[in-house]
Amino acid sequence: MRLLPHILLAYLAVGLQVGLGGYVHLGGAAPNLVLIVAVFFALYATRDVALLACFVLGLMQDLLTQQTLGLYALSYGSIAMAISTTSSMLYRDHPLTHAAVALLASLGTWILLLIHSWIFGPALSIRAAFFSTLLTALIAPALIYFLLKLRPLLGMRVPRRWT
Amino acid sequence: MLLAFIAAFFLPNRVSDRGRANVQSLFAPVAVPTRWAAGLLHGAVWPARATDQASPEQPRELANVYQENDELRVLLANVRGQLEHYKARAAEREELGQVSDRCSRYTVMGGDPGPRDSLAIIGFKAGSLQTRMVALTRDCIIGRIDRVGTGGAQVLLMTDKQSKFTGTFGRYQPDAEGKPVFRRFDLPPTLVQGSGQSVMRSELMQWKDVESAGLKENDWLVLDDTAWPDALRWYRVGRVVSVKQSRQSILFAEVLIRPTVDATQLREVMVMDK
Repeated sequence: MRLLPHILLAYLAVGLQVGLGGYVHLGGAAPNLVLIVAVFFALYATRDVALLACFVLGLMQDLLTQQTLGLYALSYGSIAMAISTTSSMLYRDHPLTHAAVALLASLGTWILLLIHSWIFGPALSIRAAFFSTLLTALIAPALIYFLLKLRPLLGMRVPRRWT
Repeated sequence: MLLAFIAAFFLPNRVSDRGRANVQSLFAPVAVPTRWAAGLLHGAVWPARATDQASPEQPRELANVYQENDELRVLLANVRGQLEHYKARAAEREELGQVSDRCSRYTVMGGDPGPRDSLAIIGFKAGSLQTRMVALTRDCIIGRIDRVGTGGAQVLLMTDKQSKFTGTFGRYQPDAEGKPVFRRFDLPPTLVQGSGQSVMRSELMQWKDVESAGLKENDWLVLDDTAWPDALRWYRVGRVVSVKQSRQSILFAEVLIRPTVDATQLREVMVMDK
C-alpha cells in the first residue's frame, strides 16, 4: 500500500464532490462520489487499509458538510468492515457487483443519516435519499472501472489480466 | 470508529464546527477549478435564460424594458439624493445606503457534500467574517454565515431545513401612471422555513386570507424580519412556485417558494460584512 496516492485520491474525491455539487443531480439529489471511492477501497484494498482509508474518507467529507461531525466517518468505516468481511464471497470485478455494493452502501449511509436526523433534526428527505442512492449506484460501475486502472499507482495487488 | 460514534451522537456541533471551519478551505485547489469547469460546461449545454421578473408570464417588449429602466434610474437618483439628506439628519450612515456597498465578494468553493443546503466560500478576508452575517446576490438573499474559519466560511442557505425567518409576499403592479410599483399583499409577515432541495415553505397563513389576497405563482417573497439587518428589509428571497391548501389542515395554506437564483451553482456571493 502506498499512503500518498491513497491520500491524494481521497482528497481529489472530496474536492470533486464539493466542486460538482449543484451541477450533477437527479431529482435534486447529488451522487456520492466519495462513497464510491470508499466502496472501491473496501472491495480491493486489504482489510486494515480499507478500514483506515474509508474512515479517513468519511472524516474528510464530514469536514465540509453541514451534518454533524463523525457521521460519514462512522458510516464509511462500517461499510468498509461489512464489505471487506464479505468480499471473498463476491465476484469483485463485475460492474453489477460494483453497482449493487454501491447501492447497499449508499442505503446504509442514508439509513444512518436519516436516523440521526430524526433524533437530532432537522429531518432529511427520503426522496433525496432515494435519488442520491439511485444516482450513486448508476455512476459506481464507470467510476470504479476508472479507479481500477489506478491500482498499480495505489500499490494494490493487480490480478494478471489487469496488467 | 468509537470516536466517530461519540462525535456523531454526543459531541455538540458548536464544538466540532470550530475545528472543521479552519480546514475546509484546504480542499479549494480541487473544488474551485472543478466548479469553474462544471459551470462552463453547464452554461454551454444549458445556457442561462434571462427572465422578465416583473412579468414572467408575458415577457415585455425590449423597448418597454429600456424605457422602464431609464425611468427607474431617474427615480433611483432622486431617492438616493433624499437618502443622503436623511442620512445626514439621522446620523445613521451605517444603516442606510445601497446594500451592495456594504458587501464584499467571496468565491464559492462548492456545495454541501452531504444532504444539506449549504455553500463553502473562500477569500482572503473570510477569516474576519462573523456568524449570522448575510450572504446574498443582486437577485436575492441566499443565506447566513454559519461557521467561520481561516480563509473560509460555511453559508447555511435559506432553503436548508435549519433556516427560519419571517417574510412577506408582494408583487410588482402598475400604478395609476402605468409604472410598475412593488406592493405588499394585505397579509401579515409569516414564518418561512427551508424545506431542503432548494425549496422554502410557508404553512402558517390562513387559506381564506391567502385566497382573498390573490397570492399566486411568481409572486415575490421578501424579507420582513426584525432579527435581520434593517437594510435588507423587503429584499427579495424568492418566488412563489405553488399555492395550495395544506394537506395537514385545510384551513391553512401551503406556499412553496424557490430562490430566484440556484445558489448551489453560484461561483461568487456577496457577504454583508460592513
